[in-house]
Amino acid sequence: MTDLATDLVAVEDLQVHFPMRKGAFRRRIVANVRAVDGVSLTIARGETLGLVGESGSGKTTLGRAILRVVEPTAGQVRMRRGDAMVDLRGLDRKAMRRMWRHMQLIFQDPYASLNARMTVRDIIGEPLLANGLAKGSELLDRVIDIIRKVGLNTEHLSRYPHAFSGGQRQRIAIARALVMQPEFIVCDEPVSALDVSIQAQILNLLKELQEELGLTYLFIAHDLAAVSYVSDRVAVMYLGQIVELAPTEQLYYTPRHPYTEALMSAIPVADPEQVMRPVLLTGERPDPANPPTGCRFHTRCRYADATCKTLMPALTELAPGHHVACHHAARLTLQGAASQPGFVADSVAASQTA
Amino acid sequence: MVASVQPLPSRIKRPDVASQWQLMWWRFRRHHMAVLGMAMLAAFAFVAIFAEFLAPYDPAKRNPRYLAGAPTPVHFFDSQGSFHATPFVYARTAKRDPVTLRQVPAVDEGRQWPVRFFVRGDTYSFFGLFESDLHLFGTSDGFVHLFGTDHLGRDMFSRTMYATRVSLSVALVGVTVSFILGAIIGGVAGYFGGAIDMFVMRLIEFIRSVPTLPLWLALTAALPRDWTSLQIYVAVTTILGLLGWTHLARTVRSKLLALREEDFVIAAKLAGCTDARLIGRHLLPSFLSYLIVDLTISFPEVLLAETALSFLGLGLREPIESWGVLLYAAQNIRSIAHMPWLLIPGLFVIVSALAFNFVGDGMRDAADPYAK
Repeated sequence: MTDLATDLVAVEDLQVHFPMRKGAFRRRIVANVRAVDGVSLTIARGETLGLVGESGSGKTTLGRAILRVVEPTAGQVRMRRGDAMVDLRGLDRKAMRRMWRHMQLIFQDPYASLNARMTVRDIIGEPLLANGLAKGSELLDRVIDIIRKVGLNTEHLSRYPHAFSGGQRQRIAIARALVMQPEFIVCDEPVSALDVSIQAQILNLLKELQEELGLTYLFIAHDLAAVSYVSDRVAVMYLGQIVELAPTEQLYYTPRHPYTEALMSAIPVADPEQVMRPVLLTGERPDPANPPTGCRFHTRCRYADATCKTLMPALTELAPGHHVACHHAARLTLQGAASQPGFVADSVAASQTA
Repeated sequence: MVASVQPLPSRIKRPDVASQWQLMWWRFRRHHMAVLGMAMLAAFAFVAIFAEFLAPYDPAKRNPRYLAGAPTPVHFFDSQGSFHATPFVYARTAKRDPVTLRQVPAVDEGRQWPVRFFVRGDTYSFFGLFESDLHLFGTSDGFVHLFGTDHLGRDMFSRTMYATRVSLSVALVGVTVSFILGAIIGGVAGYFGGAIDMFVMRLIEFIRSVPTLPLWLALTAALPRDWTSLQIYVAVTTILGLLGWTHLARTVRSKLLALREEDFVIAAKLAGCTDARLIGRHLLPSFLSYLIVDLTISFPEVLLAETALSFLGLGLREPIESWGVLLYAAQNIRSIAHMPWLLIPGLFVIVSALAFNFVGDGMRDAADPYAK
């Protein structure tokens, strides 16, 4: 699946550090918050890569650093244009603006991502106008075309965002992201701010649009069921690093990293009779400004030993396409989501039987 | 294909297609005190613009027959109770007080001086554009002094009209100077951040830590004594403006810092907006309403500062008239005891300051129509 020729986006050893400053005048840097600390991954054309992890694990920062909305501290992000891979960090502001025609972002909170002072027509038309791609009636045609694709109609065009519900707003945000016909979309928790009943609609819309327009997604979420529903592969992030990356069903049913095991055991079951036995992690998530030595997870891992405290495990390929960063991955037998009867992620179940 | 959007009758409220300013206006209108304040401000602005026309006399003109005279009430009914279609004031005659031997004006109910509208009186030049001698009201014989006269016999009503213009213009210029300075300095600090931001913020903290009244006093006292009153007027206005920008600069900076991280601004950046478009289309419209509120609220501050300075004799000086200059005459107990009408300009100060505050309040509530 990670054939070099089909890779659309390639990330190599990406780091994003936020300096913490102190002092009234000199403002010395006292520490760095390592939001993203050495992430490498590739995203193939047409696939959906899910990215999961708890709050503060650096998912959002990684997504934004790939788009260069947040400036990476080190590492490389490359995006395929034609036959060549373009290094995004080498682009100046103007070239980056042109690059954003091909890569867009869908935000978590549709109440914050739309300018309340503009009509829907202006919001969706702005990317075309700002890039000089269309204007006048051509612009309106393209706006109408895209707004129909996301399930709204022309009647909505002259309204302001405050007249819409959360789900409708997210459709507007999706239309804005797609109006320039980009290839790559970072979906930054696109459904977690919505009602559960609306979440499925938006997820289905994203899947339909992907098929119709041949989109490639980086799908960031903390809702494991939602991620399993849309993703081809899933990466698990912990404290700024990827600890496991595998095809969805492998990751869910046969996790190889203790942290993934804990995540999978915490998926709620839609059965009140079912007694949940989650693998409870002890302690707090360490401070990303002062991460533990060795394996980042050793402070909370029940399998950790002396090696884990000193040596940082590399992300290695245990099975084809299944990457794990754990010293003991080969000898551990971990429980997956499948060991919990009642976990019904339709797509996962379907792809298993198929 | 172009979507046909049917226009609705404009009287029907459509919040879904209402722009920011429409929503703000609807909300502002619900604030009755603010609407009242707005009306009063409009009246003040009218007075400031048409002072020459509204004032029956030249403010410097003395009426030797009516020194330190009390306000002359305008009547429709005479002492017998019969109605007159033309309003009138009773004539005044000079009498000598038998004890103090001072000239005291006395009311002569036998004679009436009719007050007419659009009468010819003292000539004036309207902003240097044209000369005229038309006044809103006046008398053909005798005189009418609605707010009385001062100890030199100058008409206090006329002087108050002219003072309104000066006081409001000082406030307007002062606020404008602060606004420009505040928007630029705060904008630079917020946009560039880093060392510039640090320096600006420390400077603002320093300026704000100096007690204002002594600072104004020191600065205005430093103005050369031999300057004309016009030069002093410009200088005082500038000083008030130069010291008033700190609050606005802070507002602009904090708004800018907050907005820069907003999702919709990041979305606009991804949409390919240039910096200019980002500022013009997204940032500025988002905090313009706050700036206007800030501006309205800072108006009375400057107004009161000028009044206070002039009252203390350090601000504007005669022959330029402001409310503060007029109140300067009401400083000693003798004046107030004998001529309480000299305090009338103080009412104008209070009413205008209140009006600005009401409008500012209403605007603040209306400023963010999207707040929940």
